[in-house]
Amino acid sequence: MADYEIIQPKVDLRKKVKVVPSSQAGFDPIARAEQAMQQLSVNFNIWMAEEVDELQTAWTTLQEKGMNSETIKELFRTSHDIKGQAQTMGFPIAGNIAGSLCDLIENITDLSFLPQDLLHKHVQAIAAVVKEDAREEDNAIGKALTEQLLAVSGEIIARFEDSKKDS
Amino acid sequence: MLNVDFSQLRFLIVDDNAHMRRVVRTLIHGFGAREVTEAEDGATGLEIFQSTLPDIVVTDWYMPIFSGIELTRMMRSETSSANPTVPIIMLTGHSEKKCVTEARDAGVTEFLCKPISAKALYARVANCLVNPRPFIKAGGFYGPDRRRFSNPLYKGLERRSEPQNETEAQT
Repeated sequence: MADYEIIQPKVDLRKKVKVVPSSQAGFDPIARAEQAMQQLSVNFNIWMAEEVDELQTAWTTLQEKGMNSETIKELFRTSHDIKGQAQTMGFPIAGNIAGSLCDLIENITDLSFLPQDLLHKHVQAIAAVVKEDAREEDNAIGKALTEQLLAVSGEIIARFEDSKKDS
Repeated sequence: MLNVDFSQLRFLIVDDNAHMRRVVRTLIHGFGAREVTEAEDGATGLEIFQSTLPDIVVTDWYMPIFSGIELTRMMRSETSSANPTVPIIMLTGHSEKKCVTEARDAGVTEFLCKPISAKALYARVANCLVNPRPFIKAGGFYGPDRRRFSNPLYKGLERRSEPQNETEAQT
């Protein structure tokens, strides 16, 4: 007897959609969505500034209350949001730095190993990149900053992994 | 890529970030869908899902209260979900292989890494509709068939149920 069962979906969505021939003029949903995004993009500067405000608030709270599971979780949440959205909003460098910050927090599970100054440098770098409107992925200063932060973070993560093996 | 008319579909977007919800909503409206509902956390998302029965769910992974993975498991529950076979698109910044596997094993239909693009989201939605996979109930799993392609010539062992070779069997 088979140890699995095949289930038929309750709703056949194929009945609710229709495939439109590519020859049909004026029907290009991707182009239409991209155009809508283009219109939406007038908000992206303000939105990124709001995301950075949230990140900085999370950092200030962490400094005031100390590093604990709650404050670090909030710092991770706000940086993770930036990591996910920055490229869409035209700030790929800020997204890469936020990704490095997320990696640090995700990989270094023992809070006593997390260097606060390095966390702070990430927050400052993201804020600076957005404030300076450094949008191009090949922005020289932004690129160098990202590479340095990634390298230092990588070393610290590796050191933490080694310390886990030793203990 | 196929051109598909989405205008009759109802979408639910679950994401704790208002900006991201706006971006996803804009894209989906751009695709032609008219009915798009939003929820800002997993719990609200589940409530809306149960009461409005959307055709497609687009959810973030990392959210407060419960995550996109937990939400997926609840929506896939045969006993309590209003539609356990709903297509679920997981939108996330987690691109590591272990995350893709975790999402697949929770019953996610399509996985989409951020940054989001119109083309990538459209492709995932269209794939749910035009190439629906059968649903499988096996052991603790309930979700779309995890094998995307079947190879009729394959004669090896079933990887998920049996050890692949003697060495693996011994470990």
